Amino acid sequence: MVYVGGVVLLMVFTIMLARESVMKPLVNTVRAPFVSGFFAVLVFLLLFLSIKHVELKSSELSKDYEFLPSLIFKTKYVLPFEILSILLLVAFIGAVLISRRD
Amino acid sequence: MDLNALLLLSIILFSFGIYGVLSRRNALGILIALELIFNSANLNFGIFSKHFGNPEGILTIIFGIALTAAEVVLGFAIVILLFRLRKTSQADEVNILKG
Repeated sequence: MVYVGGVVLLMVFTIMLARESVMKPLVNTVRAPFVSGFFAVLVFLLLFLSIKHVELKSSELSKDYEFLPSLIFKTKYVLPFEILSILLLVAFIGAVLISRRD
Repeated sequence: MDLNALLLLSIILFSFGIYGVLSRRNALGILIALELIFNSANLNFGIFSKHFGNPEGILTIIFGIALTAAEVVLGFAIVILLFRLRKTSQADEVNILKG
């Protein structure tokens, strides 16, 4: 949910800040979409050829995700989870600090 | 579901992300395209977790999403600061460090 909030914020500000750049003429960037499209297609083909003949034996995961809280809080992953929450807190406080108007 | 179809979806997301990162000039556009790449990686974790029946992949997705949220917030703050200082959010107009 934090992630959804961050991404929505990003998109709204993109629309707001991208308005000023639409008016500018894009000089010497005519070839840039073609070059980057070429590299994107290259990466796509490389990865597609690499997965084309993959045959892996599957085993089903249980459909409901009720195992998830016990997996997080009752196993060895509880310490990384707490460290991650501290990391998120530090990132948010840092973002507020460096974008503060002073 | 077929494994290869799901992996194909992930590859398509990754290719769109590569295209966006390389062709965008707006720094926020680059951030959004970077999100596509992150999401395709997370989607791969989910696909293989479901395919092999290993629940630790779901856990990895949760960790990865939290890391991505932190990264987005910091990158966004940097772009806002850049827009305030230099009055632009275009990535190639920030050439103040050019030697």
